[in-house]
Amino acid sequence: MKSSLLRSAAFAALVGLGAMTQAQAAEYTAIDPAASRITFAYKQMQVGMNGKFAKFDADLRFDPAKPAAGHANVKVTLASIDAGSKEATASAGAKEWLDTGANPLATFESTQIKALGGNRFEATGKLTIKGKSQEARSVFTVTEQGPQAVIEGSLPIKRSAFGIGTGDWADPSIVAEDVLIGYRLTAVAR
Amino acid sequence: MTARYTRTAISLHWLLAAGLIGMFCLGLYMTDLPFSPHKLRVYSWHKWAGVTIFVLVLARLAWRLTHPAPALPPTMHKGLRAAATAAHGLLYGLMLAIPLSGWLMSSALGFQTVWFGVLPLPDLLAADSDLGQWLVTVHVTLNYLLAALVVLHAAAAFKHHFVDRDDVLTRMLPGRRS
Repeated sequence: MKSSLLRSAAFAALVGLGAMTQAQAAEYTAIDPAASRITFAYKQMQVGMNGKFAKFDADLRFDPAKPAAGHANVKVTLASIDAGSKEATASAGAKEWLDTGANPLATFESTQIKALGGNRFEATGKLTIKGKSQEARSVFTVTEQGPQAVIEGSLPIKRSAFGIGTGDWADPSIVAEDVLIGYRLTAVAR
Repeated sequence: MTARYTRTAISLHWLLAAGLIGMFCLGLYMTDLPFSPHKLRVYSWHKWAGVTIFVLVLARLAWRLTHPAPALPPTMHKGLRAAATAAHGLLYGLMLAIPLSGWLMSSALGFQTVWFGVLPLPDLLAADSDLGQWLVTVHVTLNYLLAALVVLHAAAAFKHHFVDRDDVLTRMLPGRRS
């Protein structure tokens, strides 16, 4: 009968909507480092270079439907750097660069996350590299794929703000000031 | 009245001679430098100059193909005549292959070439460490080959001038009249 068909359809729609809402209400609490990457782009003598970090992890608590309640704490092991060239990588741990002996970890601790519309968000937080902390902002997107979400974004920094490359290396005409950190994290709900 | 090289040919010849000798010396100097801002600067200059030289070589070749060189002296031995032709051909070949090998090597080692820091040249090869190292050997070997050939080239010119007493050297000197 027509009305029972309508009722079944309505019920199915409600269940479906409920299921969708359920998926969107996922709170992501960890990342899968093996399925994530943290990279960076910089220029030396106007030539674009790309680097990455092999070892990092993040504690997070993020629900895209409730960004204001979210929090992320990312830790990067700086000695795992690949700076894009053999010589650069070999020098990256030195005192004038990242001084990884004294400061093995770089961290980003969020203080605020807000929605920008659609699946875009902005995280503000404290970025600490080489013992120096700066407020940093990062825009990222969240793409949910079943039980996982891909969080992809970038964080521009000025290397001099952290003393990355001092002495002769401070010259911005050799290695440019602007470094763009990029990340693509696979977040899981546990 | 024997023919001379054109002013354009003479200019390009000596410009390239100076450039190539300078680049050879720069190349020898820079590879031993410790990693430093100075090293990055010098490597970039070497690459910018390399691209510029490549453009000049193309111009030299185009000019040579459209403006034939003056004939070799009729008194020249046939065997030496053939040797001269081969040597000049090899000089042109090396002048083209060396900058090309440098460009390819740089790409394979993961460094794009940005001419004078403004014009990016495409990477014709993807980054590949082993290929890059092989191309370093190619670039270095070709350079030593060119250096040897240039010494031979200059020695032959001096032989023509001081032993044969013909105009082979003077017709490539700027400003002189035979």
